[in-house]
Amino acid sequence: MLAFMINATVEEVDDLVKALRDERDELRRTQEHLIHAAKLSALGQLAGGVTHELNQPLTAIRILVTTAQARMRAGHPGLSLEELDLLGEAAGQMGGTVDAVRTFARRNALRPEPIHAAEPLRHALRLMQPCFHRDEIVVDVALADDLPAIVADADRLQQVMVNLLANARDAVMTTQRHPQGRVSVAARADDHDVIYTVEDDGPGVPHEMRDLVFDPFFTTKKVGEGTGLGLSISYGIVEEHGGTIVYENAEGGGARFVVRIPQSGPAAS
Amino acid sequence: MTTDKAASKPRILLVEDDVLLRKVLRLALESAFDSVHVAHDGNAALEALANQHFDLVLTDLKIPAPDGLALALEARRQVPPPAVVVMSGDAGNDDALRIGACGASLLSKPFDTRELLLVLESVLAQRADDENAPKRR
Repeated sequence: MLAFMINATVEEVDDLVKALRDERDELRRTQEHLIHAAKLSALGQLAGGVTHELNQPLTAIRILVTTAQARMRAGHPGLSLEELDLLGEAAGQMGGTVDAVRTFARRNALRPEPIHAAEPLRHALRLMQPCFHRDEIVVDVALADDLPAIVADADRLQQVMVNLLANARDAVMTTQRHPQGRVSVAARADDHDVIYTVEDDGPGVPHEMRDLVFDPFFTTKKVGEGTGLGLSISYGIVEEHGGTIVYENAEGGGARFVVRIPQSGPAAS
Repeated sequence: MTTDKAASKPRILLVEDDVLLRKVLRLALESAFDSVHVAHDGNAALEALANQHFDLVLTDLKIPAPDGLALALEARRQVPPPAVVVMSGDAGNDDALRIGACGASLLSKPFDTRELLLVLESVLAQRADDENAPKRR
């Protein structure tokens, strides 16, 4: 190769670079096709979990609607404000499940760009704050002052943070502790990565199930009171960034998820 | 809801770990029955069963341990046994057989208020018939 480079003309080197670029682009396209094919294959097997996630709010909606119909036929007012809120919440849950499936199946190229490392977490907290407030869950936030800029897809990282926060909220809600439940989020940086942690004081994941928490086919109601797909989607997004996401036991038995994202972006990993 | 409050005032134990559905079912049940006790998992339900007598247990199949099937078995061991209705959105044939073998009834999700109350009234009536039937020696 060295001998070739020494004797090659500028045109030959240009041709070689172009060929290498074409090959790299083709590899990327193949990789995206494979990821998408795997997602579509997973969707078929997800049907059971999705059915369950839709059935719960659908049952709530059917009960509330038939209740309103019976009352109104008897000349009474339909639903109370509390019942209407529950109706809205049920519709929101169904929408969340549909969105999650759509996101899971979507074929989008990653769009990394320079962002502040705190941005995805801050935006996710803003989205989730009404839920935490309503459920009287305390959220501790510890963002290091020296968080750097990172190269990442802000929307996708925000999706990871929303999934982890929603997961923590659901875990806390399954225990007797709420409304005193607590969720802790933090972000700090080392020389290479930004490290995000989301921790709850819920029941944690049983030992024998810990290897399965990121499996898209794995659902338990306790973990997945949301969509049941959030952790597997998050795993895929973090991997696309060249990062890692792991489950750990939090002190006190709750769950802790640790996400490491390379500061320099997916290409450098 | 659609029915008058039952004259016999049956005591109902609702077991559901889904927060939203638990609230909605509680509202629906409280409109039809005077006494509704709510538990969010199998252990809380067992504790309630140990301390109080219920005429009917309405439980989801997939609740944090013990699950709805184990709870149904435990409930049916009580004297006199409460009627048990197990809710599920994805019970397979084996689950349905196991639920029946426990002496419980399956209520498939999604259901509406009319279906819910029809099933509950039906199993309560059956239970009353069983209690009134002459005992074999």
